[in-house]
Amino acid sequence: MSTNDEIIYYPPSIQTNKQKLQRAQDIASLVLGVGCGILTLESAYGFVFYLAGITLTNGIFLTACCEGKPEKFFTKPKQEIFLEGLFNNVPGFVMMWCLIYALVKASS
Amino acid sequence: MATSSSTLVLYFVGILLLIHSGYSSYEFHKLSSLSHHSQDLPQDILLETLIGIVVIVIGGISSIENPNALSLNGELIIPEHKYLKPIQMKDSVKLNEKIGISDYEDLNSRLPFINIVKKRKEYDDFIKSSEQ
Amino acid sequence: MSTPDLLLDPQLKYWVLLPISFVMVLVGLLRSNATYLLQPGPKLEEFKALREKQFLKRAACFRQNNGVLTKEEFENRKQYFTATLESNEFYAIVEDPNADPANPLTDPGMNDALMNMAKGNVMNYIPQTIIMAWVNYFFAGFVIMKLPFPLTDGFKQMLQTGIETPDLNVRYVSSISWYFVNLFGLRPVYSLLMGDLAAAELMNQQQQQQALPNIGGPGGPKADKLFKAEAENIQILTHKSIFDGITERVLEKYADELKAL
Repeated sequence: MSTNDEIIYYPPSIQTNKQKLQRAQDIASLVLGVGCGILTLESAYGFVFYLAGITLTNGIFLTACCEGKPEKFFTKPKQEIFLEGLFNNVPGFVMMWCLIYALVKASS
Repeated sequence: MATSSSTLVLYFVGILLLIHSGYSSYEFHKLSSLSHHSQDLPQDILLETLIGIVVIVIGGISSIENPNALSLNGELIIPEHKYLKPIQMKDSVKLNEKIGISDYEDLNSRLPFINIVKKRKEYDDFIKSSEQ
Repeated sequence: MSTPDLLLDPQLKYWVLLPISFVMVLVGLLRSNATYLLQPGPKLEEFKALREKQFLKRAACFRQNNGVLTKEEFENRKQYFTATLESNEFYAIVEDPNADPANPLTDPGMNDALMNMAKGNVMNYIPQTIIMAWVNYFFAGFVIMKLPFPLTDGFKQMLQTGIETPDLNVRYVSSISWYFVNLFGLRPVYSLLMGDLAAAELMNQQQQQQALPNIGGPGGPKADKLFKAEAENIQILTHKSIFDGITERVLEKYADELKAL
């Protein structure tokens, strides 16, 4: 017999939510890369910009999409929203950063 | 998911802002390299870029909206949560129940569970209505 | 910066950076479509193999959900499952215990699985190798861009291949490093171009329904081992119905509300 407090999860919803979060972070990381390139930020400033931007995006996601109750939509809310996306999306950001930086500085 | 028009508008405005600020930044660097004065980037370019980023991020978040569903009876059903789906079993099956479908339909429609009388009546009604 | 910038021809950006990115995105899309086309359709499974899996699943379901049964029903089923799991009634292939273990390479099922794995690998590696060779051949021997962040000298060997300037700052890199940046960074671009969230949602729901245990497949354990293990699990089950002490539990749960009345 299961205990009274056991929570039964619905796996498709977990997956779908993860994909949606991933999509929001994909878009955010690419756009932050573009912005970083336009502002021609260099070295540490660029990464600080990324960190601030992606955390801000996660914050918007948390308030708008999770309606302030992330535990209703994610099994491990803090880790899934704030930590996992942070490092997975760095390559996309770096790519756009390098590209736009090179294009903006093309003639100087 | 059909991308809604508001998302497309947000993307369009954001990309336009970024392209404009990018081109401004390009011109600025070109000029400053010619004049040999290294200056900081003008405030308006900075502002334009930041607004562009925020607009696209908002567009990206609005692109993950849950679509409205149409139930089997033809009623429009607006999901309880706008963006995500609840992961607890008891909450997540609510929407499907409203629509009239179930993940366990193959169990419910096993032969011993079918209400033959009801099905026959439905069929008779259908025949009668189509004869008229 | 104290040192003056290296003057790079702006045309390099338009005719090297953008084409490499463009080609890599297109090849990525082509590859994903090709892998989709090369995927074999669902195979018709032999009914005995399917029956074996389904029986095992049924036993597992009984083990997990035995609380809904009454004492008598539970005992009946427990006996039936332990007896049947230990006999070879539901085995797909009854193996002769004295026979030599079959050579896994001659097994046709195994061959199919290997073939699929090989196909997947080929589709992954060949396009990458070709693009890398293309980049190395056409865009070799010049600096194309300045990275926006500094790197340690350890990267010099890799990122400045073909540039014979030992003291050049590592921030100036050749085309092959742009290839590497693309290789890692294009994942979000692909997922935005190809990903259809609605389709993925449907896929998630379908996958949830057809989770059968993997028996006798490549890398999977043999059926008799799984059956024995399941039989042992069922043997040690202790029954506790969800209706045991239901009255007390309901009264306890709603005690406060009853008091309020």
